[in-house]
Amino acid sequence: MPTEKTRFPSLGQSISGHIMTGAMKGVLAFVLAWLCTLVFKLDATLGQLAVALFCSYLIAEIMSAVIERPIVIQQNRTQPGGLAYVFLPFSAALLITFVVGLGITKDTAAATLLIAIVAVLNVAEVILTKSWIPGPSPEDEQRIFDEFKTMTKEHFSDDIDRIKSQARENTKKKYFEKKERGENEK
Amino acid sequence: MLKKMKVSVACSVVLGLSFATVGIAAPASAMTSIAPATQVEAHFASPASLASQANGSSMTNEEFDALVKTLEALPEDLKNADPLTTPDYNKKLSQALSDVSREQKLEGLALGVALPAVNYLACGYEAVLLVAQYGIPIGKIIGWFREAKAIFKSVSGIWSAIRSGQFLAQMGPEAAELVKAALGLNGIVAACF
Repeated sequence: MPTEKTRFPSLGQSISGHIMTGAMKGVLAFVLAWLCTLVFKLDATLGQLAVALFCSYLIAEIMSAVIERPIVIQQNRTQPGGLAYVFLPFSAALLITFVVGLGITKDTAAATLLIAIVAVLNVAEVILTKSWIPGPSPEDEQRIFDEFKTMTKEHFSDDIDRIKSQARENTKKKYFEKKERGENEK
Repeated sequence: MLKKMKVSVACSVVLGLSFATVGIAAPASAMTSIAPATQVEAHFASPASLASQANGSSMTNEEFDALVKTLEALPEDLKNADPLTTPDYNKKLSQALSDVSREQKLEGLALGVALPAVNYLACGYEAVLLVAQYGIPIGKIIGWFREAKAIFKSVSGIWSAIRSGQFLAQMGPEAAELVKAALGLNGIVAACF
């Protein structure tokens, strides 16, 4: 199987990846925050907690990608592992959460609660992904993706035409529906 | 003083609450989103599933295997049926998933096995419908899940690839979106977590 040239994610792609996964953690963090408001009386509204979590996660995920970048480049691995790779973004996320949480809610208890929630979710992620252990080398990673792309292409080879035509139909349908709605509104 | 106490109590129980979320949030959200979930009762939670859901990122390998097992338990004719040409495909799929759920739950109870909290049925149903609308048989999706996991070694391997940006660099945004969806993000989140 011919191997493609090794591709390394840009900072923009790394930030997008962090935001994608951060969005999921953010939703869970909000559910936890909501549950906490059922148990504890806080001087902050649920809306304020939601805004604080959204801003915290957005800033923290962007900062994580930026903080990790020098380590990623130095090690030439997308998952370089090591304590600095785990603890620097982790600490930054907690600090950002506290500052943003306090700034938005003006309540120390709420800010501390947000820190605790973010810490729990981030620790769980670190444990599950074992991010302190270095990931595969760029060559191995490229091989994995080559294999994955080939497998996907072969696996769905019979369906590609059908998927394409179905996707075209869906797009066409959405376009006419949108057009019809627009005309009705006029 | 009272505020300080509240903070310390809040911090000490947040871990417990994060785990409790699993049992409460998953079935509730699934019930509002799709039909078979209404027939599936909440399962007992295992530590592995709790940890993965507290993370929210992805399923553990055990959960992933259980999801595949659930899909595999569907009748052969339904697995290989063409969703576009089979009459009442969604209805049949929904019914079959509910049947599998009942059987698996009874087996679990009979063996005294603690079943994980993830609602595999609802989760699988969402994942399958995502691609079924394009007319791909479920059997193919099961095979693709398995092969993808074998290549990346684990589900968390795929999560790490998305997080590092390598998935976007290699596959492009559309494919990353699709895999993200299949892993439990987007619409599947409600059913899987």
